[in-house]
Amino acid sequence: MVDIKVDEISKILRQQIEGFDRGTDLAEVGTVLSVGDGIARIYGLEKVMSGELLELPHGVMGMALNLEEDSVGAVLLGEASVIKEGDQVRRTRKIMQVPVGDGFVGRVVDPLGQTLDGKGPVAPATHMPIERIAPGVVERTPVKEPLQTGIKAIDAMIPIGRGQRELIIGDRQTGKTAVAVDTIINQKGKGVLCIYVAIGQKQSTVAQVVRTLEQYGAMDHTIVVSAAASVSPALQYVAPYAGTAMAEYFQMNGADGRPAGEDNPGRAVLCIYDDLSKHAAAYREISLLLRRPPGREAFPGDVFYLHSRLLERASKLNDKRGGGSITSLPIIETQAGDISAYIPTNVISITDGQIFLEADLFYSGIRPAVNVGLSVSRVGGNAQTKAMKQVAGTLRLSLAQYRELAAFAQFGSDLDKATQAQLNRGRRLTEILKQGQFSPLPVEKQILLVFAGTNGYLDDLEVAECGRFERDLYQFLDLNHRDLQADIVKKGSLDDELRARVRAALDAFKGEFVASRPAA
Amino acid sequence: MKDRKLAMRYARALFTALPDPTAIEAADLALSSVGRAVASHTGLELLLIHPAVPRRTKNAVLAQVAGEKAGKPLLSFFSVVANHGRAAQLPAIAEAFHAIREEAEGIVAASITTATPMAPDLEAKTRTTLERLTGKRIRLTTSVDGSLIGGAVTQIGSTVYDGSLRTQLANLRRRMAGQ
Repeated sequence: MVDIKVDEISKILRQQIEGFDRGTDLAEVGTVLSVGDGIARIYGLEKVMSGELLELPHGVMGMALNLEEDSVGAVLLGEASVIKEGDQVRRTRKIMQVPVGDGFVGRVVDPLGQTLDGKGPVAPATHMPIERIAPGVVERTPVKEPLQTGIKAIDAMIPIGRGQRELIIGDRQTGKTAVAVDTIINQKGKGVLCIYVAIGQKQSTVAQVVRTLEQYGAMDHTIVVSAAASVSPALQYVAPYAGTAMAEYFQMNGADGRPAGEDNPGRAVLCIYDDLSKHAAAYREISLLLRRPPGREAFPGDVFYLHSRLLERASKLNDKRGGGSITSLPIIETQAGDISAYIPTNVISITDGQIFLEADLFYSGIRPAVNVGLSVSRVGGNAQTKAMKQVAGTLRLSLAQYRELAAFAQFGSDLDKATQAQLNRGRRLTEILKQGQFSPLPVEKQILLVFAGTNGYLDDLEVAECGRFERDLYQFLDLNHRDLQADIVKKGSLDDELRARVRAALDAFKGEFVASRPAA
Repeated sequence: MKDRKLAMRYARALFTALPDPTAIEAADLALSSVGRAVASHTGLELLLIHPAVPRRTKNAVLAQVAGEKAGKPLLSFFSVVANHGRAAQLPAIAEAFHAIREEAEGIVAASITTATPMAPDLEAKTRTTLERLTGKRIRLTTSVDGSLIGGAVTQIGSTVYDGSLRTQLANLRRRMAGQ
């Protein structure tokens, strides 16, 4: 190591001090009129911008939200109890922004970009404003690339495309977060960065999610933005915007950190907001404290815009802009299955479809508890691979008919043969769509399984045997038909030749399975 | 509690009702003396806002406090304020009226804080410099704050020119720690 001489240090210091600009510090200031509940009213600050960061004593920051005739209403980000009446407030001339960059991948941060995982600070690539106008029509391209969740029921019937906004909605404890976490786990090795924004959740729940992601090796492509229930509503309000700003950095910039373009592809990002009901509640709290007039359910008038401007930022850019995408999976918690409350209807109308999870299904053992009738995906169909579309088309239809008949079938037993066959098929299809947590399934296996289901390979098995059939099928396919799986992925659609090979493989397996079955 | 918005509304109304600068100056003086009286005598404030006291009594008391200099418009203004039950806001109204008057006359309030008391000639020099810079007349208030160490902090309206040694040292520290 090179020795540093003492006089060299003093020389450097002297240079520093001599080079220091001693100009007067110019600032625009105001005075705190009143403070309380994390809100400060400030007199002065005549030229302050809406959404501007403000500097208060003791290192506390604020954000100007209400610009009134004679005062400014600001939310305090941080410890509000140290702020007193009469304190000086300075303008920073900066709109609220967050640090962004590749260094954040794999980390847990708060909505201001400060790390929470004890692994030291991150050097940001740059800063980006938390609020940004969404890309326009010209910069976008239709959603056409699939985002595989690895969940059979979703990938087959409610497909999600890159750049889509798909709402996950359901009561508490119906597996909403589980769907989101499974989707993150399934993005491993697929080049999709994930941002999980936790809003108003218990710290323990967030820690649990982080632990799960680490356990399945999914933290390496994930950023967790945590605004837990204990932080101020101001930070909870900022959290999803901050997460989206981080996502936009990846979408707009290539892996080399330079702006994305035709020869420098932008990245695909998946953003999960867990959950927007609590976000709306945090915003309601801020708005009421700022004395904005309340509307329905005491939410302020702009609560629709609050979520629409956030979710509009989900987009798939055209190739000229690098082709990056942000896929949004907002989560909404309903009360007793009521999807016609204010916030659920708002977000349903903003998003491109919803995955509706139902407590009744969950408790009757159908997990993931997706209600296939109420769940839709308005644009994802174009993004589904052709092969999946071919096999899943009949699946949706069969399940719809099954649901209709199942209600009647409860009354009597005198059913004709065709009806019985439909009920039979439906029961088995429902069975094969069940899936354990943290076990995402690759798309080729999903295709083969759904093919088996819709083509009657399960019809003569007991319902209880379907689970074993599925497990054994995967084992059999991995042992004997790796090339078939690879070809399905490569071709993307099932032509006659491929279809024949699939049938042959399934026939061979079925024979083996029936023979190995313990005698009844 | 001082209500700036409310006080501003009353003060502006009075200001537009007065005919000429001399009347405005007289009203400013009378209003500020009444404001001081209300602020310093709790009994007076209680009497003015008490619902059981007849209006005529309140008006008579206010007229007496304001003295003979107060013209007719000002006396009617006092009775309006008292009748609306806003007599407690009179000190704030006086302040707001003064601010409006200064703004109309092109006077800007400025304050300068130094580490040690300023010599009178330096103060006069500062005033002329500030008047030249802003192009307006300056009402200067000075204060002393030892923690500035040296230099001066000048505030005009909501803009602060901080040339104090304390801030420069803090900036130097931030810069060196940041690198």
